[in-house]
Amino acid sequence: MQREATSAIAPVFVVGTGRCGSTLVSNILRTHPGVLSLSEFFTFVTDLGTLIPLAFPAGIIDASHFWRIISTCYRKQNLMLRAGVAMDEVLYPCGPTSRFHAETGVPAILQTTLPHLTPEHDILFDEVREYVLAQPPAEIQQHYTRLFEWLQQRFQRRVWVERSGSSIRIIERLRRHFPHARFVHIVRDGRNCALSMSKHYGFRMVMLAFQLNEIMGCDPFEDDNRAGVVDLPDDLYPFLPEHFDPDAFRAYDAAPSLYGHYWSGEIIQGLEVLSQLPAEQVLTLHYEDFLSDCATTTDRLIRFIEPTLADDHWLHQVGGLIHPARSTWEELPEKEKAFLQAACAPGFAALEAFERAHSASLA
Amino acid sequence: MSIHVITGGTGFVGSAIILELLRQTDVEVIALVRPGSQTAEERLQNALERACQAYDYGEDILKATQTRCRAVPGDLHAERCGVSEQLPPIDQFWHCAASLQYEDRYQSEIYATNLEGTRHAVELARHLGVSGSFNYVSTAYVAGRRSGYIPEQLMSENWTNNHYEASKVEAEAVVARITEMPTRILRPSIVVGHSRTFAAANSFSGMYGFMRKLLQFKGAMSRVQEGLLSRETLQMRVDAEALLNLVPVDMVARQAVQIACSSSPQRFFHLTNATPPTTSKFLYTLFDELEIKQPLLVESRENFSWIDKKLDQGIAFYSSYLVGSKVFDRHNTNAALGRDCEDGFVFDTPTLLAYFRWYLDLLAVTRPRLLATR
Repeated sequence: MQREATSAIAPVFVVGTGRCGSTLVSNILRTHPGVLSLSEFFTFVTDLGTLIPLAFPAGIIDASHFWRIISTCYRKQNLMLRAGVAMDEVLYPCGPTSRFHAETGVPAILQTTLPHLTPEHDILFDEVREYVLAQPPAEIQQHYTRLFEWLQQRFQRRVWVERSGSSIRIIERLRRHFPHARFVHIVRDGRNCALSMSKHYGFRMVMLAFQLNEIMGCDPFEDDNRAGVVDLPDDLYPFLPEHFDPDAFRAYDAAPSLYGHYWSGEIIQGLEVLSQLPAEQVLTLHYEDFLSDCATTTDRLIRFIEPTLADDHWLHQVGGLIHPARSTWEELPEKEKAFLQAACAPGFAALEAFERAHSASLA
Repeated sequence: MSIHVITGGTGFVGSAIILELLRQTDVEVIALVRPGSQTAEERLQNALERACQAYDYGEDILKATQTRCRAVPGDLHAERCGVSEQLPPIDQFWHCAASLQYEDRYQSEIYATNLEGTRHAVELARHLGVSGSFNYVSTAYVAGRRSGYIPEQLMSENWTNNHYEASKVEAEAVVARITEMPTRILRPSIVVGHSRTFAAANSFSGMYGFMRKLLQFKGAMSRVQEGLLSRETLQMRVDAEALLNLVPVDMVARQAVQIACSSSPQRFFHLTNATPPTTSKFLYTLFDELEIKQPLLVESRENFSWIDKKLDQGIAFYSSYLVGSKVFDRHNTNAALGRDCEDGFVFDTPTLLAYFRWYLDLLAVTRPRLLATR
């Protein structure tokens, strides 16, 4: 198999619908001495998946454009920070003496990716800036590859693995831009994914953004045009950025069944892309298997990434990172359970068909 | 020379009434227009020209808008509508201006315009010593939650669903208390575009607002899952056989002016359609056109999913139209028009589609493209 750029091991993207246990995978991989674990990179450079096309511009772009993509203090994520409703995934320690904070905004790559790698994240941020700005113009995938490989070498790792929540949404772009990359698809029972999504502030912001964009005819976080505000119902009005109401945000209720539909759609679209790849470029792992047998599942993961990275000693330490889920879909009221089951049914069917076909092609 | 004053002359119904006055009569029209970035006269002429083009009215009418109409700066929110200019003797006063908002956050604006604005219009009419009638364009949906036979009379109780309807009920009461001059309270139902061109000159509320809501909802749900609403059956709390009283704007204007020119002693007139379509016909045709799976029309919200509830919430304003069949009495209107049978306009499937497609084509041109979601 041909390799990307100068890396000896083809890179890996860990993809999932979000709330599927993929953060656990980033945390597990961070503890491996041979792996550079890039966490939530695309989550934040796309502003929670709402500005995806801007993170993948066509044609040749210069270094300053690329630096803007990865270092902008994007509006939605920083509004959440200012409003006190930031996602738990944000690792940058905002405080009275921190270099970046709610008022300045935190650059995208600093929200999680760099703090996930080192407590010296501010210093690393400056190093990244110096490196990036010195690079010649190139297509976006070259910029990303250069940066990830530079970080890989900086931390003396043998391979980089990027993982962002809901990255299955950009899987087609990843496949196109990184044709030799491999994919680890983390799957969790869609009903529990949906339940978790319904409580998660990042998903709440995205679901609100979906509605706001359609009604306003623009992204109100990126565009000052308010001509569409007359069509905005009262229950969405508090979420316009100019008077964002954090209490209303915390109280906003979107049922798990809505996210069940989201989960099914993401699974179906994601599997359409994964099914086009050679079987040996795809590994499907179930979150439930991490819970029931972390060592075996993690061993499959690391051997897929690179067999020579397998390490029994390391495997026995990763179990401590497992935390069981706080609630399950079976605790929902009967009616909502039925709606949720129906919403996830297409996703389950697609998974079943994919895993059948995938196993057959590997056999 | 007979002179009529009109508020709301740049609006949907108001501009149509002006054009109809120019067609049916030889009156001159003074329109009270709030200036903005344009002068009052520019706003008026632009609105009337747009309406003439939309309704395919000839050069004669367009010329008449320039020779027989003029604007006077005014403000419905000011006493006597802020008119400082001395006006000639006025024969009839038309009060068409209204706020068509309905969300709770617009409550003060709605009442300021629809109720207080009506008081200011009445004050002005009294001050001008209008010799003829004060004609108030209200809405047939002051009927609110009532169903069945809706008489042409003042609503004795408030059965309204929202601030818009409630403000119009209260405004009617203000007009009904006028003793200095005859009054006519004209109640159009759901006003849609011209009966021949299907075009609406401006102010896309009512049916158009409903279409936008549905389109926006479809778009939002497509972001949740591509094509979700082409597969998922929505439930809607709708009375399938209820009559959805759509009425073309030219019919409303024609009947309004004929009533104004009549000697009818009556005060309340329904400007409605004698042959409206059913809600089911309307919805099924619209959903097909929007490529949304046909809805299940139900009598209870008991088994609504979150998506059903969200849509229901989004179209709550339209519940007056969709729940509880209303048959609008037209005795006063028909007597004034001098006909035995009611004036009807048939909304068969091709006609509904023509109306839908006209507006969808307009939205396709005017609605900006959003960023791709993946």
